[in-house]
Amino acid sequence: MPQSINSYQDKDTAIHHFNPVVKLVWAGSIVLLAMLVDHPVILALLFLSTIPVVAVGDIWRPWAVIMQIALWMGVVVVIINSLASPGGSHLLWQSGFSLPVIGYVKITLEAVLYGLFMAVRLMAIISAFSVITLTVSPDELLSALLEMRLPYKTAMMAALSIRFVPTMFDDAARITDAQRSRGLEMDKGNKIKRLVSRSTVLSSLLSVSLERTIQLAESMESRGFGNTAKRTHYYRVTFNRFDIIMLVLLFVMLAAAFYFLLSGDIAFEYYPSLNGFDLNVSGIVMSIVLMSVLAGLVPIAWLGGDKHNDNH
Amino acid sequence: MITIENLTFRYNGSLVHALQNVNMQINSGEFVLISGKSGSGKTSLCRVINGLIPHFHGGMISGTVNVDGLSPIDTSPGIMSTKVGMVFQDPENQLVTSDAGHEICFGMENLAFPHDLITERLENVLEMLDISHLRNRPFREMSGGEKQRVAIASVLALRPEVLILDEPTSELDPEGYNKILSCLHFLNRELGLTVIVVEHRLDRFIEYADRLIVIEDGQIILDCPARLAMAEHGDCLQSCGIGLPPVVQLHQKLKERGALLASVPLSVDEASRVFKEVFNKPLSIITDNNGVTGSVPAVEMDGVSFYYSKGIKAIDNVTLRIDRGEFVALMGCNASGKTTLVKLANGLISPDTGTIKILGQNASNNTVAELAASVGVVFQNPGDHLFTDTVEDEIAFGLKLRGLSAGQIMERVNAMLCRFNLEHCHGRSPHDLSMGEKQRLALASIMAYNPPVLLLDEPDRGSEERARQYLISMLGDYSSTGNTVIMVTHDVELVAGFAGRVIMMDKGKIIFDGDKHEVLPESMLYSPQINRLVKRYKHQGVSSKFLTADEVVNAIK
Repeated sequence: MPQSINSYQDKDTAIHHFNPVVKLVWAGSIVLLAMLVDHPVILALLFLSTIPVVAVGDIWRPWAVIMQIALWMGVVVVIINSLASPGGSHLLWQSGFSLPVIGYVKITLEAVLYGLFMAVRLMAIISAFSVITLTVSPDELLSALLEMRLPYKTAMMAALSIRFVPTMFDDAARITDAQRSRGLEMDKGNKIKRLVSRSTVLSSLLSVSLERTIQLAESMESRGFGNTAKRTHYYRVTFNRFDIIMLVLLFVMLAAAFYFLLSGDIAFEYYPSLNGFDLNVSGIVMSIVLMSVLAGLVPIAWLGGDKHNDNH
Repeated sequence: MITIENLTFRYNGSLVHALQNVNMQINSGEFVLISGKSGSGKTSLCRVINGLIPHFHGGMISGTVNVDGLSPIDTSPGIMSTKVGMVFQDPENQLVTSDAGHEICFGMENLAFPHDLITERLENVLEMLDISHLRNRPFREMSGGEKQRVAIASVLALRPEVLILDEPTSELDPEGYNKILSCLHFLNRELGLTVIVVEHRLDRFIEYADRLIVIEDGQIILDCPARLAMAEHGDCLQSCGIGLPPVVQLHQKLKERGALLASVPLSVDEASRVFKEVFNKPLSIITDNNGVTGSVPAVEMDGVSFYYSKGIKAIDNVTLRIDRGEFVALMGCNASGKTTLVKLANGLISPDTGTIKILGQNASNNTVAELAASVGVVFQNPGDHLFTDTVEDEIAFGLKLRGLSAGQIMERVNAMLCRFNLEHCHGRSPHDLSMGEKQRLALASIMAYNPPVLLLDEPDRGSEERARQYLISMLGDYSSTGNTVIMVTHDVELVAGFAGRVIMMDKGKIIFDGDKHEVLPESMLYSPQINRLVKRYKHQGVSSKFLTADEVVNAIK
């Protein structure tokens, strides 16, 4: 069976074998920083530091598909922000007419750039998430989330939803085939028309998935799911030296980042005009630390070597 | 082991009782087969035994149930799981994790077993079911039969006293269900596990069963030893739409003709002793070769190959021609390329090499929607087909596309509703129908507009004998009016009874293609019961081409 590209890729790489807890903390750090930091250079670095991980994890193709969607979302963000944000001192274009409620439409350089860096922020977050979905199997995710003291049912829900993504895509493909075979025209017309003609697939998919969910719940219930408050975990994530080193590095980096954020050294203002683009010494130090720690996942994963879990 | 007294149950929101005044007792170590047509209440009965009813499904329940000292009505399914293990129909929908090791541990973790105990049980159950080699293999790479064995292992790890399986083989190919059969036989005979199998097909399980229980409309109408049921209650079973195993049919038919026979056989092996006298002389088959094999080609494939993305051949250089008016069975194990062949024929996928012609026209020149006019396809899961709001719209859809007038459409829709016994579903949403009704509706929506080529991908899955017979006779009529019917199926006994031609596939290639009397005896996995029986008398001069009880009876005359 061909592997579906929207879910866990079962591969034999250093990134796949690396401790899932550390990977989750790594991705979490990127998401956290991407949301807190404003400086465009650092945002770009956050995104770039995920690329070596993608390369070593051998997940280019599915990653590229996901990033393509992220890119389109980014374009939408830029357009909306450019049109909707009137702040900024460098006027690029102004409409010659006034619209009701909004008034004159103004596009400023600052608004465009702000939108652009919002898009970069979005891409960094999505890229980090996709590394997790593509290199952590649902079973590992469950073990990792439990290791991180997440409540059992919540962790199970997260793992199950990832486990059933490929199943749902298979269902959708099968349903599309069946409905096209009945003469439902899905090949003709423009993109929007095709999208609308596929809406019938969704209603069938919903009904098929619901049925599947009920059967799954029955099977879980009859094997004692949720029976005891305390549950044992047979498969544990084990930590070796390198995992610990990476975790420590990540936490030190996060602490440093918070220090710089609070000190205002890497502050950046978009409005009314761009201010703070030139990084001072501590800003540069910060960027280097950040980049090397995040991209450091790759060498550490190589050094960490062997399989991390399945030791019980 | 299990005692049920005066059990009555009704689902919430339902007006009829799913179970009515059920009394039953199952002893430790028994192998019980529960049968009945779909919707008769057999699944509900299982759910009561492991406590999913009322704890998961709710509803109104009365009466007493006792399973090894516990009442499932008052005990949660979690606690019951150490008494009763339940395995469901579709392996895909009951596996929570992504490999065998994790799956087997799932239940034990839920019950907070200590680490050492889990290790012990895990190793034990892997060995017991002979699936140690599957331990770290992802489910994605397993066959249905392998997944189903993991599902059985995952409930056995909790050491239940009773194992209940709800149609465990209906999604499997012959290779898969043979493995499950021998596995259940071993668990029951060697380890003394009480096994309850819910199944409307008797031929696969009856030889292992101690007892047969038949449920109709929520009531037990037959509860007796399996052999007695076969010997004396055949009529009762048939009136419930349950088909008798072919060797039992043969026994019944020969007896009616006054043959002196020992008691009814339940397996081919027993039959070979019982029918010794019948087959002690040469017998040759009388085939009524009235196959209306026309000379107008309907589907032509020439050197067709199709690759998966990674260069794996799904279809490997297939050349075949199927004429108008033919009724063809397409058989082969899972992943042998049957469904891919169907998709090629209606244009959902295009061949990488070779050409496909439908009614003389090159298929690649048309879109799927255009081809749909000449090629109607009914896929496995009827839920996939249905997308309109009402049952009528569903049937009318194909007619509207073909520009029929409103009056004609209405007339045709009503005729189809009547023909497929769907009148009572009038105006309902297709998604609210039962499985059997959905299957009939999916078929009705295609047959309504009379496509000259009709392709069916396991249309009979999970339906009981009578429904299958009806389906087959209808398809037979359809092909006799010059239409081509191609049906993908695993059901050997069904194919033995109908069809002229059988095409057998393996690994993307056609390995056999010809008359059913030529093809089926050649295949080990796909030879019907009667055929396996007559082959044992080859040295007596008995033709090894017999496929059904009727053929044997006619030859003896």
